[in-house]
Amino acid sequence: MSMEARREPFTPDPLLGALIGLCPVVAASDSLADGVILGLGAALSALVLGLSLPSLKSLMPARLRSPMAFALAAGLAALYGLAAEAYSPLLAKGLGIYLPLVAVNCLVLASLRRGLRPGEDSALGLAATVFLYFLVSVLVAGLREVLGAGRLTLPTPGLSPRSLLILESPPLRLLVAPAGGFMVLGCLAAAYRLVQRVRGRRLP
Amino acid sequence: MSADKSNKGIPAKKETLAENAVAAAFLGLLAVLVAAAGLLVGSGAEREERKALAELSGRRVAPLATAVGGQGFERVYGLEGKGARRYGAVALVGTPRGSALAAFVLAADGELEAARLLGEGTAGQPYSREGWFSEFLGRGAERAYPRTKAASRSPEALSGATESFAATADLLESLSAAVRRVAEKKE
Repeated sequence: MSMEARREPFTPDPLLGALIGLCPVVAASDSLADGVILGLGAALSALVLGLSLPSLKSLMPARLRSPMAFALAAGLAALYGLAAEAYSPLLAKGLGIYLPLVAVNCLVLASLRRGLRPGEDSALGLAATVFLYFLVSVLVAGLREVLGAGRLTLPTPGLSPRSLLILESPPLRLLVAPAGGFMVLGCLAAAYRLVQRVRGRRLP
Repeated sequence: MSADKSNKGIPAKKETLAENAVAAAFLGLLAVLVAAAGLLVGSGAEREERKALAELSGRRVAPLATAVGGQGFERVYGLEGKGARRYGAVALVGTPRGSALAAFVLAADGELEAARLLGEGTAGQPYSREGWFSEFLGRGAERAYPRTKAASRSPEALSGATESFAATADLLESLSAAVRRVAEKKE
């Protein structure tokens, strides 16, 4: 726990460290397949916006930057929703309104804000942030489905997503409900903070 | 003084117009991209629906579908072949226990003649299990519902069957009405 360790560049996990972009993870991701689809949607949108906005900024007049960036975020979410519908119609229909809502996910909005500000965050930092977001949303969704429903639904393409039976009688059915999402996320966030504290890092 | 002001305003106005035109072009391009992707996905879904209905009915699916936009279904297809005209649709039926995509063939009076499960999803629903839809709709088939008297007594089976029954009955009522409307227009 030296001072040098504290000075290393550090990207806190957006879900467990900064607690942003929770909506799709705690409310809608009650199965592994949903977690993968929503997590990937938010991560890809944030990445594309974060990487494209700095270069598009010179083409946009300052007064129109924000509305155009929001329109781009909505367009990306619509395109991703259509791609998800083509990949697995039942999973996309099951997610319903949460797919278009990717456009206003806090991770996407944070990326949008970073993209419009000069000299904020490197592409590598952004990639690390969105990758961590995706990883944690998949982890939360997988844990909720295994412990709450006793199975794992794989995001397979086609009409019927494949489901694997893991536990005959799931021990904590509450975890599949939105309240269960907060419980799993709370436990993981506590563990994450403990690890960061041991490593000498202070989270916001 | 006022003349100076108006002279300064002209280039600024022109610049603003150009900026607005660029922004409008950008948004237009984005809208065209989303619309094109929507058409592509929609045509893929229609192709799959046609294939499923042709397999189920053994008839040729009419080239033009009628857009009806009902509860869980979007299009009704005419099925051409020997005998009376039939109609088909692919519909989504969903309950808190799961969602299923099924193909239906109906007579012109809205009577259901055949149905086939195309796929079902139970993602995230703790009380659902595979087969909840086919067990209801497939009565007399390989896995009829209820299979045993004891199985039918379990609350889970009873409530599951009631929910899937209610959801399927709602869907068939709406689909039957849509088919009758389409058949009346054709006559």
